[in-house]
Amino acid sequence: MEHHCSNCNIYTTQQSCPLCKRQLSSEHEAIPSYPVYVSNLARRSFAQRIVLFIAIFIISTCILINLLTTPDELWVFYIIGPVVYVVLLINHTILSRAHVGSKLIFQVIALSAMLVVLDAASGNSRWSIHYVIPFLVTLSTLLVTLVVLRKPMKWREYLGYMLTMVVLGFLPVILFVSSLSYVLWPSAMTGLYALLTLIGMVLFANKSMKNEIVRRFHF
Amino acid sequence: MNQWYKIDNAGKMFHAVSEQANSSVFRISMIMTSDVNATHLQRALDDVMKRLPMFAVKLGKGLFWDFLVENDQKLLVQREKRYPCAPIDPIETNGYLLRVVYYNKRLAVEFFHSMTDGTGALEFIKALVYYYLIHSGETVEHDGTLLDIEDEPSHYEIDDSYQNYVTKDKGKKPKETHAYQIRGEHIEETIVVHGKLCASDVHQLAKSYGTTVTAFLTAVMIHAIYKEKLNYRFRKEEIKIAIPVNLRSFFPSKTLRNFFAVVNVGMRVHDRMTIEEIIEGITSQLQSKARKESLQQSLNHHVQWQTMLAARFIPIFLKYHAIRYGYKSYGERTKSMTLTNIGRIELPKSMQKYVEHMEMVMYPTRKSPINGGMVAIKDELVISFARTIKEADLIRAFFQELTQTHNLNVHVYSNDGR
Repeated sequence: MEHHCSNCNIYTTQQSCPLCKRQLSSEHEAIPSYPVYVSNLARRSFAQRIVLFIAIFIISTCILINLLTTPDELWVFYIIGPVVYVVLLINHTILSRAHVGSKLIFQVIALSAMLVVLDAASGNSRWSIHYVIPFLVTLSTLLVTLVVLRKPMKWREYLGYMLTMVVLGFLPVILFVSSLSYVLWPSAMTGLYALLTLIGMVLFANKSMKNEIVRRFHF
Repeated sequence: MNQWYKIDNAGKMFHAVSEQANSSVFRISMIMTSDVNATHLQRALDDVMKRLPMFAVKLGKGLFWDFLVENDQKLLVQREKRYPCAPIDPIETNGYLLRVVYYNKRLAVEFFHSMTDGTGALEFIKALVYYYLIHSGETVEHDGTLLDIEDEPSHYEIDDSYQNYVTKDKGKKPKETHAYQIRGEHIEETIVVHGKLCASDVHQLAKSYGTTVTAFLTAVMIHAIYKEKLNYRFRKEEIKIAIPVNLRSFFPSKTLRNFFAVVNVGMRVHDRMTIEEIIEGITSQLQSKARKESLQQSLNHHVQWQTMLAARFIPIFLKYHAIRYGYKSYGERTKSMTLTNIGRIELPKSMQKYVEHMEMVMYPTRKSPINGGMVAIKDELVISFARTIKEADLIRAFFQELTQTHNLNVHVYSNDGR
């Protein structure tokens, strides 16, 4: 049934005026024009918020204890690095809906960053830059290659990640050239491996892979 | 799965600027005379998607530009459960950049704007409703004005017409000044208010003022904004309304992708200004701005920056930052509101009795939190306002002006206050 809102001078079948909200009838509209919505706000899930809160709790408590007890020796970095890493591990790698490829790249970056922090906190002997980062990059490039070989149908999805890994493969070489790292063989090995992966991709690429490369790099 | 498309010139912008508070998703609905049947709608959708491969795509990520690539999954119709123009989550839509929803008598399509504009979406929904009626066992006749699923997809339909019509003429782009910005208490969900009027009455009224429906309603809106927001202010800022213009009317094109330009019209209103003066001003501005020559210039400017060789080789995430900055600082600040009119829709005679009226909902954005859309079918003109602020004073003032000053009958309904 149609009602008239004398305040706004309009007609409506709704129970109250859509413009001024005055109630016009005691009965609900017979056929509603819109549903009652299910709230679907993109919020962090409850689990993710708990993890974040626990992490903040641990880190802040440790900073306080460290500063109050042994301010000369900052052992708190041994805690911050792994705790931040665990938060990222749980909230991103485990709980998020991101693509496996992006999770893998994220892991490589997060692990490398954590190890650099631990390394710096424990006397800065650069073992992370010399050995661990090159090793991690090689391993993850190998992993992406294996996934693509095992699921050839999915290679299109992984191509971007594989290319990113190849680019990351040259990072240890850059670290060496910029004198941040001075052990050559792990960096050189990673660079070579990335190059071989790239050559392999080009040599074994069929027409559709070339097509995929064209669309990803169109400008 | 090898077919892929570059995103058209206007579409690229929507990818850069869309976010939770700016979904870049618009909706066109047809309100049928009876409840929509989901099974028949799904069958119709399957048919139409086969005919329109450029809509059966998902987003692919590239280094310099994103692209659209064939999607082999199925697009499923959904019962309406979220507010209109909600951001499209590719996980919810199987990667598609559109959704087809139904609720009671409403059959609606929501498109991410990078795929198509109002014209493309209109062709889509017209065909969808036609095949829906066929699957529902109704006797409707194809009169040649709708897309036919028996036809092969035409390459004209996937044209990037911006590229086709761009010329070297650079010309001078007039500097756009900042406009009054509507503010209010931000809310998470989009509220839509539809006002249904008699199309011929509005047309007659506009004619009596010697103008078009679009110019008349734009002037009424400017007047409403002035009365509600600037009347008692010392600084009378310029009120400007952005009006999308269908470029197909000026540059022949059959494309179903984006092909529109936006013209801003408006003025600094003062106390003694009458509605007649506002209408006159808006009419003359629209006439001079919605001309082929000015639109050609705007088209050229639009395409130019994207074809600059240096810009093309900048990685996409940097480009997106630049586009977002430009959009927020210039695009969004030079208008108070967007008001789009997709015009009077013609359907084959045999289909008309199944459709009551239509709705066009234009998504609001952060800096333009109320936007309007209008569409007419048969003799029903529906003006829809979508907003993400609590205050409805402007919308109320707009409709009041139509009912009290111009004696029009307005039937209002909304997704709010139920």
